[in-house]
Amino acid sequence: MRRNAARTAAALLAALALLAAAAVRTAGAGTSLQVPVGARAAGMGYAFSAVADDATALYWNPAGLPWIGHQEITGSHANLFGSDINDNYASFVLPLTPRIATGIDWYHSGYDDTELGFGENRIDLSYGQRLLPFLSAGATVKYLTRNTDLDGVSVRSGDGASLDLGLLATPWPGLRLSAVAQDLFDARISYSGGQGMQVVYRRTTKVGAAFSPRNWITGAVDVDDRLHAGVEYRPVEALALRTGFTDDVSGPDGLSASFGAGLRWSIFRFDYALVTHPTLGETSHFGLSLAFNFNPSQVRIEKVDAQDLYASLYRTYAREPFGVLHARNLDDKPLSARVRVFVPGMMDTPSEQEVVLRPRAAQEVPLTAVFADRVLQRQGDRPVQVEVTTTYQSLRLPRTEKGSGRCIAYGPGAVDWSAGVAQAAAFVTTRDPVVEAVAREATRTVALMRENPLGIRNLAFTAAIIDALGTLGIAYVPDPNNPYATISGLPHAVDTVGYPSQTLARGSGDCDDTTVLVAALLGNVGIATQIVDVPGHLFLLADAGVHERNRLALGLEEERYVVADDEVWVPIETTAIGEGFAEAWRVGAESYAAWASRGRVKLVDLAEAQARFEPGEVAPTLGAPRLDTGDLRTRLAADLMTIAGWRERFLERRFGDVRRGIEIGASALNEVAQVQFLAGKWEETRASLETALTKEPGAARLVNNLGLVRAALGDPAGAAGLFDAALRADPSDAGIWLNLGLARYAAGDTRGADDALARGLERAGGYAEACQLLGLAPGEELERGAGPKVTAEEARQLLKAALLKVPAGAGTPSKAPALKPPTPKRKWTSRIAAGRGEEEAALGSLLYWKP
Amino acid sequence: MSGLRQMVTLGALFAFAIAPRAAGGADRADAEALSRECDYGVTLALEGRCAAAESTFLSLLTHAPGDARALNNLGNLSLLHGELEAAHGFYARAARTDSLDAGILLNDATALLLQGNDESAESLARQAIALAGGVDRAAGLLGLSPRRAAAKARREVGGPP
Repeated sequence: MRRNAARTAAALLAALALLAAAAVRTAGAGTSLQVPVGARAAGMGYAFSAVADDATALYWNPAGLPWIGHQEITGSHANLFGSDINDNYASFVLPLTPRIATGIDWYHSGYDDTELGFGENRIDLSYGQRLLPFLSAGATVKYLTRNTDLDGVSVRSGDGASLDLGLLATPWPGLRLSAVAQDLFDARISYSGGQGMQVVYRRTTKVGAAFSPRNWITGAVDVDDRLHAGVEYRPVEALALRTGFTDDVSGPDGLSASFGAGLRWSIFRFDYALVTHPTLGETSHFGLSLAFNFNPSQVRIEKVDAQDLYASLYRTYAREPFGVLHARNLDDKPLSARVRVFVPGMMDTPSEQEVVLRPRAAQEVPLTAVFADRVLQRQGDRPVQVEVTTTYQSLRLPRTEKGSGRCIAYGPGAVDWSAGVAQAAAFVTTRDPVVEAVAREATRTVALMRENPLGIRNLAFTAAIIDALGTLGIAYVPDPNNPYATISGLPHAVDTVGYPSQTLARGSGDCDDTTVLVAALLGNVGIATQIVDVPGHLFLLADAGVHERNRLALGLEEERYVVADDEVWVPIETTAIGEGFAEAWRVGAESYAAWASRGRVKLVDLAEAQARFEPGEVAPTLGAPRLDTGDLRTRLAADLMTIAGWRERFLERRFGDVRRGIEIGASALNEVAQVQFLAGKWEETRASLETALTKEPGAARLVNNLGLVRAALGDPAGAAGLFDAALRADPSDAGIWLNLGLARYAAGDTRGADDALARGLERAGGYAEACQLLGLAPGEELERGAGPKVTAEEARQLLKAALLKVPAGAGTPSKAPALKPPTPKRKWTSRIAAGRGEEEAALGSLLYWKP
Repeated sequence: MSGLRQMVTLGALFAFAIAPRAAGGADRADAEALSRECDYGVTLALEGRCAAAESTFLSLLTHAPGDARALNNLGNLSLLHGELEAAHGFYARAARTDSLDAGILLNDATALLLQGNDESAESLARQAIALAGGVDRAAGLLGLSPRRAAAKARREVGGPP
């Protein structure tokens, strides 16, 4: 853009040079007879053709009009050279658009005394337009009259017309170049009464330049038959000081100087200029201007691009743009604007959004809109107008710019698949009352069965829904006019998708219709689905409700399901719904596997797709079809039998040898018994151990553990008997001896306890080892616990006392502790222990478990 | 702890140990047979045939004493029957055998949480999450996919899809 501007500027400068040459020739041919207008221009030595930024632009350069940007009225008066020749001027400028402005002015020059009167009136109409961002052109059409009176009697009068043309370029910020041709074909007046015709203004061409390096100063030069130069200096916003000169370089008039000032207050500006003349008197110019355009245009709507609208996607357009507004901020500052979009007939109220337009920049604003729900009730396709308005705060008042674009609004059901299969989500109306009725009736049938026929809720509900569709006679029928296989591959081809209630009412649909129908029914009962997008076809994956880690729950070959997003999904060929759930599943699984092996499967998660393509409120249809629940049960039974056959074959193939090799050994039961014991499940523990003993009769560890149960049940004597029995089977087990000792101690048999503990210590290999077997820390010194328990400390004391009876070398306690007198017939209180060695733990938790 | 409670209330609670692990000294064929035996038990359990599943896990325990998978899965069955203390016992024993399985710790944390032992459950869950390598992975061990769980939760409360 900048390069173009530079090129254009170079061309303009060349043109200006040519015009300047012409101006010089004009100067040689004769001088302009027009009287310049405006106190401001006068103060700048009439170097104003490139400035031309106020209402006098009609005279100086009509190409300056579109740059003014506001309405302005100006008037000026001068008594030329103090000669009582009055010079009056009034003009009005009206911007029509940011690029076009017009204006009208009136000029009067006259002299009147008691004998002689002379007057000239001129009315000008101007038009200016910006052709390019940095170039404008303008034209002024003039109508003028002249009248001469003598003693109150008109002696000569006539009228004529003329034309001015102008160019104004702004190739760089602050620089303005101008070229103006005034009275292009000479201004002629034709006098009435056969008094002939007179050229009153000869063609005048002028070129000029103005430069404002800063906002507070402007320098300007004009060249026509004379050289004009001037400066305007604005030390403060309200004050302007001006000076300039006009030099009749090759003529007789010589140099005249100008001085001027301007005061601005609110919308008013007062100008004064004093112009000297080498031979005539000075002229004072007075001017008053009103710049009263309160809200100049600061935004230009350049274009509204609207894409075609699809009624079924109407909710999507609230979030995703369906068009673009191309707007330009004409100001030097960022501009906050409110953009309103309205499509008559499709919206109840305009949709609004706030945007910030960057300074001096063209910007694309995405257009979104909230359409009325009733768009789904309006059938047929039709052209619509997208109306866009941009409202912003202008200098003083809000201002609105308008634009529009046209597009086609397609009726409900229309869709362009080239924009993605995810759009199908907009048709999955899970909350449609008809869908709700069918889905709930079908799933209630399966829910009322005594047991979930498929073991997994999602599978059972899916089976019920597919079989319900079979019961209703819903069939797959390819679209004869626009088969999905064909139309889905054509860019921008518009297909029609049936809403679920419509497909239910029609009783048939092609693959997209049936896929949408099944997805809606499953969605109604909370079953997630994914659309399987393969070339020329759509079908579904239904969420089995099983995490992939638990996929064994299906009990099926892996080819029958799909693992995606950590979930197990069941493929459903929706074109086979009439043949039952099992068949739709089988065909779907085969189809999925075939396409997946070629890498041609794309999955569209419906929940995610509906976040973009939210379904709308569909017009209510006739009531829901009634389900024959008897037929549904029959179909379900057949499916269950088929799937049970799949499972049985899978289990036999995969686990046949395992099933035949199931055996439960005593060691496993013993391990379970340990857990049960620690959980305080005494009866369960005893049952496990007794079962284990049937498999391994008399096993020392089982009998010992059974003794623990007795002890835990508060029968230390019975426990001691079982420990005795265990020792008969395995007398070398130190742990059992220790158990026996503690049981005897609890039963009040202190002597027997000492003996058994001594044997246990001997076989354990020492005091520390014995403590370890019982889960005791040998070095701990603890207070004796209160209450009828055998505490850890007591156990230690017992062991230390028993150690005295152990032959030397078997145990090596540093010092034999004193034996505390045992409490006879202590009652054992068993409770669950968090771990061995816990102080204050019940005796049961201190006993040794034989692994 | 609130995350753990959420895992519990969302449904998929029990991590069944099905990853093949060779028993000490067992050759490859034995290890595969044990894995299939475990898988069979899991299949039965997930199908809701708990008694048959228990027998299968006991058989596995018979063939591979101390097998962490069998113990963990027996813990799961106990938990399913509401026997929280027994479940905790099985998990604790399983964890002693396989201390690197975060799933076992999570199961145990679940059992403790249901027992009302929030403090221990939280501590165990923290260990499990660290062992698993993050909350998402830990959730995956419990059969929870955070994305889908969130979507399900939204559907349940009737929020936007």
